[in-house]
Amino acid sequence: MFSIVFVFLLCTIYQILNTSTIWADSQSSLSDYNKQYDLYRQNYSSYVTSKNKWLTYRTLDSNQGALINGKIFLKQRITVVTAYLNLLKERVTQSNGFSQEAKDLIFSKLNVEQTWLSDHILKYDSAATLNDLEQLSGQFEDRYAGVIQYISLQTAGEIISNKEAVLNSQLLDVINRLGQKLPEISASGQDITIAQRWLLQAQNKQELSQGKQDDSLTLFNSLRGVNPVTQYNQALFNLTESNQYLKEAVSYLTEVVKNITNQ
Amino acid sequence: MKNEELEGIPNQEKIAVEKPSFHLTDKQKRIIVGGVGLLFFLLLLLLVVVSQTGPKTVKKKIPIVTPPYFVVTSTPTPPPTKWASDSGILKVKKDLSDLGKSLTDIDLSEPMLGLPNIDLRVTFQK
Repeated sequence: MFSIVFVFLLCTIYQILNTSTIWADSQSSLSDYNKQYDLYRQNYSSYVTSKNKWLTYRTLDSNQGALINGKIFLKQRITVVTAYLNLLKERVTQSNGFSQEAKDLIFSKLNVEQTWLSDHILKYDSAATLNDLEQLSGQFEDRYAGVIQYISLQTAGEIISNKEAVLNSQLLDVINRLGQKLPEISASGQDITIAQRWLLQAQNKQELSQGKQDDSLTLFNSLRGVNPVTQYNQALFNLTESNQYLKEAVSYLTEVVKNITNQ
Repeated sequence: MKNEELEGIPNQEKIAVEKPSFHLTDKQKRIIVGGVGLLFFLLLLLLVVVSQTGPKTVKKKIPIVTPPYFVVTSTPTPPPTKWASDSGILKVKKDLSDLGKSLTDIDLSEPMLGLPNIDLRVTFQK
């Protein structure tokens, strides 16, 4: 008897620790991102000040100041993006809606970018002039604008979309269960005409919601152009509409239950 | 003109102006006060009579309809069906409640997942 209680306690403690580890990971990646972002802002101010000093006085001293502060700032810019990608990875890990294949695919894409960033950041130490820094900065900007921002927004969009997809599948499950129950209720002699009508309405709303989710996923997967953020926001709006349809479907299903139970 | 000629004209200062006397006796005063009071009373009376007998403005009376007294009784609710205690239906009910809450609580913007606002035009030239 004692051993059973002991094993049960161990399992409970393990479960609690496991859950808190995931939570801690998420919190740590988020706090790390915030911390790096704050540092970036500080370094940005130093970079702007030293750059203006260089452009005003054109002295050797101001040149060195601009070079040093520029290096620190540009390296911090990369660190922020790396922390951001880490945050995305953590959120993908925690999300329930991703299949293992989808997770692997996202991780491989993000890992490629993180590897590129970790290689790229090393080059800044060997930059000897401001021109070198500008060239390196240009390489990063091209990579960021051409690849990283699209992958990041796509991933962020999929994370949010998955949250909605999980709720959609839960609703579909309820619809199916009620759909299977109605013939049984009808066989018992109860009139289910109204309940069937409400159920049909709920199914329609669920389909509309699914349509909006598909639209948002299409937008997330086809982000392109100079300003992909606009498309990203449009996709988020589609998800909001999808959410509204799901809420309406839940209302209809609640009516079905009320009709069946008279409560 | 000579002074002798002026002597014929009476000096103005010497003229004694006889002011009319308004001295009233107590009886007269009482008569006047009583008359004024009577006039005022008659005027009031006249106003009252005119207001009562004059052309009346037709005021449309809004009929106040008092609803007949009803005894409101609550609609008799039908008793719960046997499905109210069915485990499958109860589970559906609970799931719907949870789902409704999740749909309300969900954050579909997640600003933290948006791109960091970084400077992508770094240059050391003007």
